[in-house]
Amino acid sequence: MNPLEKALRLTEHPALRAGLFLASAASMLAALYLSLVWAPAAAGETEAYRIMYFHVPTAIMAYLGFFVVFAASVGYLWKRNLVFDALARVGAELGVLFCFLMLATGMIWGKQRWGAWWLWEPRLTTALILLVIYVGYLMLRNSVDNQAVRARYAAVFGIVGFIDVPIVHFAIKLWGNVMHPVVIKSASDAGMPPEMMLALRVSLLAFLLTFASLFLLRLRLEILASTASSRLSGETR
Amino acid sequence: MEKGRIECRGVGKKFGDFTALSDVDLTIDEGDFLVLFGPNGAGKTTLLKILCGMVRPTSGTARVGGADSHSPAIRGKIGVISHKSYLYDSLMALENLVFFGEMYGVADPAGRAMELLKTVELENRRDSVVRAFSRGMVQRLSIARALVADPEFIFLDEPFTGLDHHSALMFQSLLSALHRRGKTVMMITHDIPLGLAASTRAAILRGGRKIFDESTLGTGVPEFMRMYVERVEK
Amino acid sequence: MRGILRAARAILVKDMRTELRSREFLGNTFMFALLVIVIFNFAFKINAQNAPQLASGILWIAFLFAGTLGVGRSFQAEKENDCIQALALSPVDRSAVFLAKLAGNLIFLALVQAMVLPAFVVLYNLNVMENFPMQALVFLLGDVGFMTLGTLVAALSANLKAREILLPVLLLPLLTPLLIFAAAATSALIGGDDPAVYLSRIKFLAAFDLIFFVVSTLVFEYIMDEL
Repeated sequence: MNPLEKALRLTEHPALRAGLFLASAASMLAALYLSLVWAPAAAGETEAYRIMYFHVPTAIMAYLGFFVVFAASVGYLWKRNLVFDALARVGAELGVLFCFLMLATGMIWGKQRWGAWWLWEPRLTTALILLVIYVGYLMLRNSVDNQAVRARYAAVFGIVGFIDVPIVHFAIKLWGNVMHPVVIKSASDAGMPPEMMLALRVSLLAFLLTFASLFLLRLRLEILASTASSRLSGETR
Repeated sequence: MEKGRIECRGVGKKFGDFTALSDVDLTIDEGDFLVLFGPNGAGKTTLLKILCGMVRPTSGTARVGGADSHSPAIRGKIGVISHKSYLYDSLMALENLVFFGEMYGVADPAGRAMELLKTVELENRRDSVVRAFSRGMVQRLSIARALVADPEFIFLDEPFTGLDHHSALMFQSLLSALHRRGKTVMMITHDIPLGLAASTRAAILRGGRKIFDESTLGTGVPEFMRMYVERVEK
Repeated sequence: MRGILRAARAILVKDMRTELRSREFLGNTFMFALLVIVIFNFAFKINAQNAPQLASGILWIAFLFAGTLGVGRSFQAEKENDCIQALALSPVDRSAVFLAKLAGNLIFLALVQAMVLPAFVVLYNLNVMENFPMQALVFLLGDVGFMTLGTLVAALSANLKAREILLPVLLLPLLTPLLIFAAAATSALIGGDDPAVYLSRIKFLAAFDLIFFVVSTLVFEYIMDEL
């Protein structure tokens, strides 16, 4: 059996898909209740602080997605198995999606807290640069027709891009300190009451399950599309 | 004995959904001259590219001189002549050959370059840039380029296209001289009479599969053409 | 190792020879970089007060733009007649190609900088070369990091349809840290800051160069593996 088909088998499992979907829906509802209703108000913050329960998990999911791109890129160059390429692509798409959500939630919170949609705060600025890097990664993928070449080029860029992530973060922190000496503390830095911690953990779990669920669906779509097109071209030949 | 041999076992190549080659077995012994025929899109160029290490097969193994065709060690012993000239337009003829001589670690690149320019009768144009060359001259220089490291294995992809009469004749005698010196040669061509005259064996690819592979010694051109039409175009 | 360096030198000499025959590109790029500097003056209304603050950023932006044009060209000569394929067919290690292109791009950028800097000093009435050896070191380290990633991304985008737009879109975000470190170091030197400030920036630049030089040399061979 070819490795692509083996991976398809895994994503095909209806119980796995349904289970993940239900689990992510249920945990997301629980997270909504815990963070919006149950968790106590934060001292010295408006109610807008509650967006933190979604902002922090989206940030973690974004970095998870980008890490998947990196690991799968190394895997592809090592094994030259196109399943790794599909993993990298899906990782990048989800990374970009969650990175965008992270920026959006960060900006909404910023508007409430600072009265401006955007301050060049180091963490948000890093996220913006990462978004541009990984949108570039997807653009690179779109402009190569040959599958093997695309996989190889994307893997090279996926590795270099990920190595740049901590360096970008470090540099922007330095630059932020130069231009804006005020270090803005986000809500998650402070010592948190246990209720808040619990709500954040549940929300994190919900996002993790959503990530896995979307990942599986998107991977399955990717694999189905590639088998469908190879079957179609097989019939016409 | 493996030293001069080219060997394909079950070689297949897919480009995404498109199958360019499937399960090709092919052996070219040391000193053999194989000519490869087949209609357009039969996978001839892909096979050649696999053998000279430009493309990786998706299945099977391709070995040249006992080594994987992708190994750097064997690259220095392979000479390739393709439709593309592989020459720098803004460099002079001599500079091109010296440069590639250096790439292949030739002991005396300048001397070797002059020798080759003489062989392809371009020594009086050594200081002209390639951009000013006619198609036939470019092709002759690209032959010289391929021979710069005196390769053991020579791969040719449609070398006769666009050659003027004089260049074609020169090229033919050059090829047979190389063959006499014991080089292992594989050539793709559409020109059946030329191909048969030069070769010791012929193979035919169709739709990515090998459908014919026999000695051509003593085979008549009309006879082979009849067989080719029957097998390929029916 | 010696074989790699010898091959790299041969490729570099070949590239320089080609470049010297069509000299106009260096001049055009210089004109472009000069124009960036002049236009920034109109955009920001540079005067004696704000010049020290803005100058290093403007200078590095001009270098970045000019250098991106330069690297974009470095694989174009190899594309004509598929010469890059011929290099891939030859027994030389692929990293030799990377080193040669990197060296060529560095020389190109250094020449552009050597022409732009005097013009910059005159137009902005600012002595960038106050602390010459240190400033030169900043330029050198900035250039090496820039051209390392530039050469790699240029090789990636050389065969793509949307090459002209993809090269800057892929390259510039990767270079954000470099721009920050380099501009900060140059500005600290212009402003006559405490040596500790610019020395730490210079260390960051050196670390950036080292990391990406190693990674790029390692992954470059995959770009040339199958063309």
